[in-house]
Amino acid sequence: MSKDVTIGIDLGTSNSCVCAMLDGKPTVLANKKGERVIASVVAFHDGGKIEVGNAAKQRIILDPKHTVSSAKRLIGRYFFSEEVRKARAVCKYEIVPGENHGVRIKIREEEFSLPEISAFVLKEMKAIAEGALGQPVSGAVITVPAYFNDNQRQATKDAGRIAGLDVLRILNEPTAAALSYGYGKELRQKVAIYDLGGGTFDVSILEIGKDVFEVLATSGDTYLGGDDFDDRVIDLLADRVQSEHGVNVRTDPYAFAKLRMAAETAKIELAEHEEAKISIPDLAEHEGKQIAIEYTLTRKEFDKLVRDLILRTFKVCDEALQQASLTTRDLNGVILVGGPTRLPSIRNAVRDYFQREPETDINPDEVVAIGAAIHAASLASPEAGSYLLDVTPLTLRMGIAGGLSEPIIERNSPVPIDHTRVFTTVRDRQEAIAVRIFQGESRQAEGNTLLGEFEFSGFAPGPRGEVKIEVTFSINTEGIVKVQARDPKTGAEASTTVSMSSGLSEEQIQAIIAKDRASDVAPNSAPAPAGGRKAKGKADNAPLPVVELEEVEDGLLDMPALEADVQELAEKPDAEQPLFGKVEGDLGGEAQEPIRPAGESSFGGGDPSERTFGGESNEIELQEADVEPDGDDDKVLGDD
Amino acid sequence: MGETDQSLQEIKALARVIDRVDYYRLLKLDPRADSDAVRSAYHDARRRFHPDAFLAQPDDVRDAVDRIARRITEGYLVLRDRTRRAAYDSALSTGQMRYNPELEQEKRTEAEAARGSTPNGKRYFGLHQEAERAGDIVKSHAHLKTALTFEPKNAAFRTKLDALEAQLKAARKKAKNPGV
Repeated sequence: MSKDVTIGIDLGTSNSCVCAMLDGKPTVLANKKGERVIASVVAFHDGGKIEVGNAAKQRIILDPKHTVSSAKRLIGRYFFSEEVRKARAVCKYEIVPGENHGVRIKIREEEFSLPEISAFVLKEMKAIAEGALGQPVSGAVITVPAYFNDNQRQATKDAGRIAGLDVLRILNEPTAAALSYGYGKELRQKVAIYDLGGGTFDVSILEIGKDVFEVLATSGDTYLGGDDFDDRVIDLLADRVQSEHGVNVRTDPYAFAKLRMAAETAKIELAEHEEAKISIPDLAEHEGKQIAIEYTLTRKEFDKLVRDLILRTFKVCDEALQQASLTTRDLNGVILVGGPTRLPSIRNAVRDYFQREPETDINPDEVVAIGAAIHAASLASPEAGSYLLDVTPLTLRMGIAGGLSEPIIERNSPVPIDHTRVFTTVRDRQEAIAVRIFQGESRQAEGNTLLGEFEFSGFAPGPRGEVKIEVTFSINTEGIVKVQARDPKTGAEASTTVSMSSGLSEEQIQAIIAKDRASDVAPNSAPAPAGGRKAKGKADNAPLPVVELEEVEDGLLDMPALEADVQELAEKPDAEQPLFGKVEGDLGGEAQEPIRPAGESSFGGGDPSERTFGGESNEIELQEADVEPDGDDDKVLGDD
Repeated sequence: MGETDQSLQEIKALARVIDRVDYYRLLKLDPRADSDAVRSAYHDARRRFHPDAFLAQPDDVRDAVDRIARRITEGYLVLRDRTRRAAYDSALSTGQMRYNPELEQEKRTEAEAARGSTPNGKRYFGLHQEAERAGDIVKSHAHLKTALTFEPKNAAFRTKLDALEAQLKAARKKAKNPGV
């Protein structure tokens, strides 16, 4: 291994933190201003300057349209997802649909994918580490919420690569926190990690046995975080302004940004004091009059505002404990992670729920980065210091007939793990088999997150029912899903095509990295990214495959909840060329890499140019060879 | 990394024959081991073959470690669960090295079928069970018969009904000849 120092990065929704092992001691690294906790905010200045961190955070008030915060809430999501819908209502920067139902952030005329936005934050963390250590850094462990699905994990990994990091490992935040808590202590304990971040809530139950950190169960809510607490305070203040002045400040991006800042400050103040004074003398202007707000928020009132949010976290804890077959009495420790856990309202509630005092000598803002750094160092050294045994947070599923899904690998299964199934063809001379993969807990396919549609081909066609194909679904230690197929007769790997996957393709990532390199070499002569993208789009359009647009539309409308979005976009004249136009362009894509190498493929690498929308994919009915299709319900109808 | 060339060769060899290694051998476990022993054997095996410890190795070694690690987890999932372990032990005695989760699925379907597969079948079977618990043989018989009209092909219902009818017959006989 190289003598490079490896780092651990906690890439948070609101804040990020970087840490490295120095002389065997984890050390949180500070920027030149001495700040150790860095706001995950990216500000795009007028002249092209891009700023990240606490200074960028100030820009939310000055320039809300060009300042991106809480991007982690959007990473790895589909444009039609609930979270994106929510973000579009709240965020003052422009969120637009990207190809493959992905999400892009539009800053002036330029569009950025979420991995690119997160890469700006990661680059800043890398620069902070290099500044503090006085040497270049490349290897890094990046943490993600335990409850992140495959799409979100892949996208985070992509962000790391775009930032020029060698991502050694994606690690779950609660597991990192447990490592930081138990490393080198030879503990034998069962602990709960209560991790309330800016945008997500996770809980993991671990058993620590000396050097082994075994996650027994994990559960979470990716729609719940400190931001939601702020929103409650913002609502309270906005309602007050509305009733006092008859002005709706929610629609004024500048006023809204000021409210958000004030709400967050008040929340932080309440961690230390019984009450927080909120005063915004220049909130907004209405009919030539200055509108101000003065308010004193007490702890008691705040508690009431957020009580239901806190109760929601305990429902998640109940679930995790149940999955681990434990009760709170079996635990030897409770570790708090995330800035919001400094709030007395939360500390008290956690104490009541777990019937024990949470660990107090742990810094909830730094504990995850510290764990990540410990693991990064261990990965780079010949002797592994500790072994992390994690689980998959969500059930891996496969779509079956009737819009339903069937579990393949149950949630909370230890990873790495795999499962093999045999499929047979249902038509004579069928040349491909397609299978849709989901993650989630719903029997209805739509109730889960689509990871991608896989099409396997390249096997010798034959009479229906006689051609068999063996598909192996695996989840690695990072929680990343892989699907491989082979012909059981010949043992040959089948070729695999991934489609309907929200992530960036390998080609796109390479293009972004190349573009970044070009701009590193000659910042002034580098082509504008938007222009680069357009040029690429043109090239993609050259050879047209035989796919009719109607088919494309059919395929699109298969997607859950998309119909509404399409309509919404159609009604919005200023919206960027919406989904159809984009997809049409994609389908024109040349088959530079239409077939994944050697039948192996991970979801993020889906090539958007090879897609089986509509007609074709509907024809390919998949059927399992040796399992009676889940026909119970059909039988019900028949017998009745 | 600390692994010698020889141990890397051994890892690749083990990965090649993994389909012929049973979970007990893989985890270095006695077939009579209790659940604590299963867990500690699992931890030991994971220490030996953790993908994190082989990050710097070439792809073929990492693939081999991954395959072994995945099989170790699978073995742990089976051996730590009493029902799965029993099913595996009996499959192992017929030479099957891997647990077949589809058997579990079949069993589950069977168990579900035994309780009924149609709404009305389920409902009357439930009423039948209730009457049975209350000791009312006549009522429980009637409900089961109704359940069977909704699911005429339900073998579990049929078997149960036959048994119940024999029981009823005997009870009636007894009622007719109380002296015997």
